[in-house]
Formats: sequence, C-alpha cells, structure tokens
Amino acid sequence: MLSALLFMGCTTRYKTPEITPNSTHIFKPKGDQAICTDILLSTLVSKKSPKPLFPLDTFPLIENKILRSFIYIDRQHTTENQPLDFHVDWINPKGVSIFCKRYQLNPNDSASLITSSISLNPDVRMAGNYKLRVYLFRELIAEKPFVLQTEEEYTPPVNDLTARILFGNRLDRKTGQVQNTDSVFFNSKKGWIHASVELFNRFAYDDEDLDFRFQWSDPDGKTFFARTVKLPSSDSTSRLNSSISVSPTARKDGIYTLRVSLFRKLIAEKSFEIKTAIVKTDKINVSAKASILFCSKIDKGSGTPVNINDEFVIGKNERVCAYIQLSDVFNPANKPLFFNLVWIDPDGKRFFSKPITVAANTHDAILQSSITIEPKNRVPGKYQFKLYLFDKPIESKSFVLQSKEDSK
Amino acid sequence: MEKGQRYDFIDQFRGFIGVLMLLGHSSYYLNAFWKQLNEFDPLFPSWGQFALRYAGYICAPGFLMMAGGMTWLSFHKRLKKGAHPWKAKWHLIQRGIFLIIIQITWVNSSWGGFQTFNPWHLGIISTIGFSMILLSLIVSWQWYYRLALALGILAIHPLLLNISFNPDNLPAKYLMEAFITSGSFNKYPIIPWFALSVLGSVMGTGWFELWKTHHKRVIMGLCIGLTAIGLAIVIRVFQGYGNIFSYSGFGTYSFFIDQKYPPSLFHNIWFFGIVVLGVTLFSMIGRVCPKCLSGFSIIGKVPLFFYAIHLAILGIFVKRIDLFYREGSILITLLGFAIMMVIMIPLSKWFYGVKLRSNNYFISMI
Repeated sequence: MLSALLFMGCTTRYKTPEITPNSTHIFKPKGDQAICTDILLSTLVSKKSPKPLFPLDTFPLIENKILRSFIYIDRQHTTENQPLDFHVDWINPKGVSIFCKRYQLNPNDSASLITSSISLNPDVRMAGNYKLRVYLFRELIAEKPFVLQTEEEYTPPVNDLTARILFGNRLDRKTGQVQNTDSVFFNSKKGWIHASVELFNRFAYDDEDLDFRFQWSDPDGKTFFARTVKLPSSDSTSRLNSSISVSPTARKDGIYTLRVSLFRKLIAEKSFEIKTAIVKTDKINVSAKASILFCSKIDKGSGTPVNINDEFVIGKNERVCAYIQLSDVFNPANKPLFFNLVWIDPDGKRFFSKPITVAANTHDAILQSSITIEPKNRVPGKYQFKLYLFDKPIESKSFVLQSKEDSK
Repeated sequence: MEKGQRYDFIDQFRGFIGVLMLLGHSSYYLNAFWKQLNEFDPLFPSWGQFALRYAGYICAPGFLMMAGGMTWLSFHKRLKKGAHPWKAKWHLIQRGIFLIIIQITWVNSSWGGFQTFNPWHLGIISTIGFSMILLSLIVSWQWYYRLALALGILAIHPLLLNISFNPDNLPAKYLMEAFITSGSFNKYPIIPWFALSVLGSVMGTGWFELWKTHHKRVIMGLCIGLTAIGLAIVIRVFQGYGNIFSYSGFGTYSFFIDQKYPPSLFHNIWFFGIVVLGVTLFSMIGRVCPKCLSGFSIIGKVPLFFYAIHLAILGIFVKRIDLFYREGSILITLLGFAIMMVIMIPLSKWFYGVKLRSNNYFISMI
C-alpha cells in the first residue's frame, strides 16, 4: 500500500507554478499533456468574439452581475487520444467550494476555451479573496486568485472607462454641454433637466462598440425613464446626453438618481433634487422690481436689446424677445428665486413659459425669453407677457402682433 | 499454522486499518482542504492532500474484508465447540444488529459531537452489520460458492448503477442508497460492500483453514493479491466496464482513484488486492519481527471501540467546541493525528483489559 502510494507520488505536474502576467498560476505538465495557458476574469464579454472585455482581478459585488472566467487550454502538445476531463472549482474566502463544474473536451473537439460563471450578487457572495481552480483528471493544473469587494470598497482601475455626470436646466445643442449646472431643480411647467455624461478613457475597450444605458429613477427608487445609447467604436464622442421633463404633474418632490451603465456595469451615478416651486411669496417675503422691454432681437455681443418696440409684424424668421431688467431684489431668506416668464396669446391662453432660477445672492439681473412670430405660429392680436416670482405675478406688459397687410 | 500467529496478523492489519482511518478522520476534522472537497467527486490541489485522502480509501474494504474473515472464523469456532449452526449464526446476526444500532445511535451523532441526535441515515458500521447478517446466511457454504457469489455481485453491480430513480421519491432513494448507490442517506450501499465481506470470508477460509503453513499463506496471499491487482489494472486500462472516473495515464493518481461512493468495480478489485497483499505483508513481517507490528494489535483487538471513541473525541472537541475545525494544513492534520494516537492507544489497551475481564453482553459486542 505504502509502496503503491509512493509510486503514485509521480504526479504529472510540477509542484512550483509559473505565474503569467495575468497572475494565473500555471502548473506545467512533466510530459505531453494539455496545459492551461491562462485564466481571464471579466464581467463583460465581447459581442464580436467569445473573449473577455477588460479582464481584471478585482470586482465589485453588484446585484444581477455575473463574473465570467475564460480558461484557455493548449492541447497541441498532448498525445492523449481521449476526452479530457476538466473540473472548474470556485473557492470562497473561507476556503469553501462554492461552485464546481465538470467539462469534457473531446479529442476531435477544436475548442480550447472553457468558460464558467458565478453570480456577483452581494446576497450570495461575501467580499474577500477568492480562487478559481482548474483541474485536469482531478489534478490541479491552474489557479487564479481574485478579489471581490463591496461596491463601497471598490475603486475602478484607472485605465477603465469612467464617467462624470453633470445636471443643468439648459443644454447647448451645439456643444452638448449643460448650462446652469446644479443639483437642485424646481418643478415647473415645461421645464427640463439635462444630464451630460462625460466619458474618460473613452477607448478603454479598443474597437468594441459601447452599449450605454441611462436609468432615471424617482424618489421611490423606481426607474421612470431608461434609454440605451450605442456608441460605435468609429465614433470618437466623449460626451453623451439624456434629458427628462419636469412639471408638477409628472414629477414629485424628492431625490432623483441617474445611473449610467456600460455593458450593464454601473460606471456613474449621481442624484439631484426636485423641489416644488410653488412657494407662497408672502410667507417667504421676497420681492423684486422688474421692467420689461420687447425687442426683435438681442445683440449677442453686448447683450442689449435691438429694435425696442411694442408692435411687431408677423413674418418668416421673425422673433419677439422679452428683455427683463430685475432690480431691488429683496431676498432676506437668501434662497434661490424662481421666476416664470409666461407668454399669453390674444385668447388669454398661455402658449409658452420659461422657468428661470436666480441665485440666492442676486440683487439685480437680466432675464430673457423669446418666441417666434412666424405666420404658421402666430395670429395678429394683442399678446401679453407676465413675469412671476414664485407663484405671484410681479410685472406684466402687452405687445401687438400685426400681419404684413395690416402694417402697410 | 501456530495458534497465536493466526490471530496476530489479522489483529495487526485491522489495527493498521484503524490507524489509517484515524488519520483520515483527523484530516476530515482538522484539514482546511475538506471545506472544498466533494467526497463524491474529489479533486486534489497537491500530492500531499491526495495521499492523505487516498490512505483512507483502504479502510472500508479492509474492515469489510476483515469482518468477513472474522465472521467465518467465529462461526466455525462455535461449530467446533459443538454449537448448533443456527445458534452460531444467531450470534452473528445479533452482532450485525448491534452494529446497525451503534451506527444509528452513537456513530451518526458522534460526527457532530452529539450536538443533535441524528439516527436517520446509515454508514459504514451499519453496512458491516448488514453484511454480517447476510453473510451469516451463507457462511457455511463452500469457499468457491461464496467466491462465485461475491464475484457475481461485483460484476453485476455496475449494471445496477444504471437503474434510474427520482431522488425526490424518498422510498426509491432510500432503497437505492441502502443497496446500490450512494447519497445523503447512505454512502456505503450494502450490495457491493457485502461482496467484499464475502470475499473476506473466502480469504478467511484460506488464512484460517486451507493454508496450513506460513509459507503457503504467503504464497497464496501474494498470488491472489497480485492477480486481483493485475485484474484491476486491466479493467482500468481499458476504461470500459467497471470504470467510472476517467484518468490521464498509467501511474498518475487519476489512474488509481476511481469512484468510491458507490465503489466502482475497479475500486473493489483493486482494494481487495491491496488488502490481501497487506495482510500477507503483515504476516511476513510478523514472522520475521514479531514485535514490530505489535502496537497495531492493541487497536486491532478493539476496532469498534477505537472507531466509536476516536470519532466521539474528534466530534466533541474539534467540531462541537470548534478547536481548529477545518482550519489546518497537512502538518496540523498529522499533529492532530499524533495527539489522537497518544490518547487512543492507552484507552484501547484499557478497554481490551475490561473486555477480557467482563462477562457483560454489551461489552463483549463492542
């Protein structure tokens, strides 16, 4: 028995492993046997070919995430004309086997890749140092250590693609940059919150097309809007946008969150607050003086109104701009002021309003709003423009639109 | 064959098996490797862990064969003393029942340090008990009929493993695991292990009756043992009938480790050969150096006591009190094993004295 055991001491593998650049421990064979050349781990798989995207050794524990292993087998030197009997065993930080699966590669099978996966759900996995072991005919041939961390502990590697989110209530359509950036927004009729997502290390995934997903969730944590954006590898864009509308009927007060995922992996997350703008002015005791001017355009260089008037002729590419000069702003509570610029047609119906938030420490400011007065949009008549501070009108002024025929 | 020598080599080999079993159980309780070991589908990270586990593989075949041999001896000794055959058989049946009761009362619960009473499964001791009861029914057969029966069972068992059943159907599961396959209810199915105990009784016929001289016993032991090992290797090399696990090549440890739960045909034939060679080797050493193996006799004379007590000590102190439970390496396992030997040898010696002096029925059964 003892001699038999000693005889069996002739294992087929060297005791000391070779360590690959990917920190895989390879126990090389003494003879002509199959070898495991490397093990790569990733939560992302290329859609073009069965290869891992951005293989790592440390991963965050995230619900509904899967960690995939790619075990590369080299059989070109093997003379064995029989099915190769592999076992892939995942071992947790306590040394307990959490998942073991058997794989057979047939001699005629050209496959040289074995894949195995485990869940990264924090409910079933603990943080700590794990091992993935590969056995051939019950003998250890490769081992890959890796680490699972809680989401809070996890720091993405610097060479991974990362993203930063900015919120604002205006969006520059040309540059894609958001303006009036803030993390608090007021609920108003026909308002918008724009998110600009800046991508860093945009080409971390080489020539892979990128699948982003934007998920906007409400104060209850429920996703109310989700959008998928595909960014082809040929597109060098490093900024993505997504917007939501805000209105008292559609959005309730609370903390909202935007999550941006890449290949279902969360890469950025940021919250913002939506507050109801209906605040009684008498209760918070704020006031402001305003003078309203109407003009056909505002000079971009100087910011001054051009062609000031109260009568305008409807025509193609024609506009009416409201130029409001705020002064004597009384704001003892030192809170942001919410103005609403409302345009009313000859029938007394509001056809456009523009919410503007003014910073708390402002004493005088210029507000602007404009409408087109093309024949397809407007009819001749007396129009009104009203300026609200919170829900209270503080100034109003009328102007007249004439048809070309009337003006003659 | 001298009267004393006849018993010594059996006791010594049984004691040796007991020591290997203690080594295996020390590993079970102290070795961190057991946290990842699936006994039904074992994988080995190193040669040391393989050797530690494989050393225990001989225990079940060894005990079954020794029990078979001693069953045959006990029966014929009683016949020679003038007992009626059925009275001699009734004694064996009582001992078999006693072993089954010990399994479900003491042994099952001792694994966990008696934290819970856990009678609802079977194990190696109950399988020895059932085998003893069945063997008592055929113990009076000529050796060649018993041999034919054992070989027939071993040859047919791989076919029986193809019987499909739904493990959720509890009566089917209990029936299959009691007799044919392995699972949570019973890792040691009666049919294949009974065959090994029958082979032990056949070998007992040779050791205690047919082979009158030491020389003859050695020659026959070597021939039978080497033939069995040769047959096992042939079965394994062809990788066909009687094999369950595949292997990479001759001489690798995957060649030698085939399925134990339930045992493959290769496993049974291979370990039958190893046990026969082991007994023969012990007989040879005993003749050359009678005192060399006498330490094993102490354990081999009270094997059930040794089994039941060492398991209880490990269960209580390591598992229940949690002293290094599955925290150690091979070295810690060997250290724990040495400490257990220091505890168990005097205890076994003491109990053997008690057994010699006592007329108590239960003491005589242990």
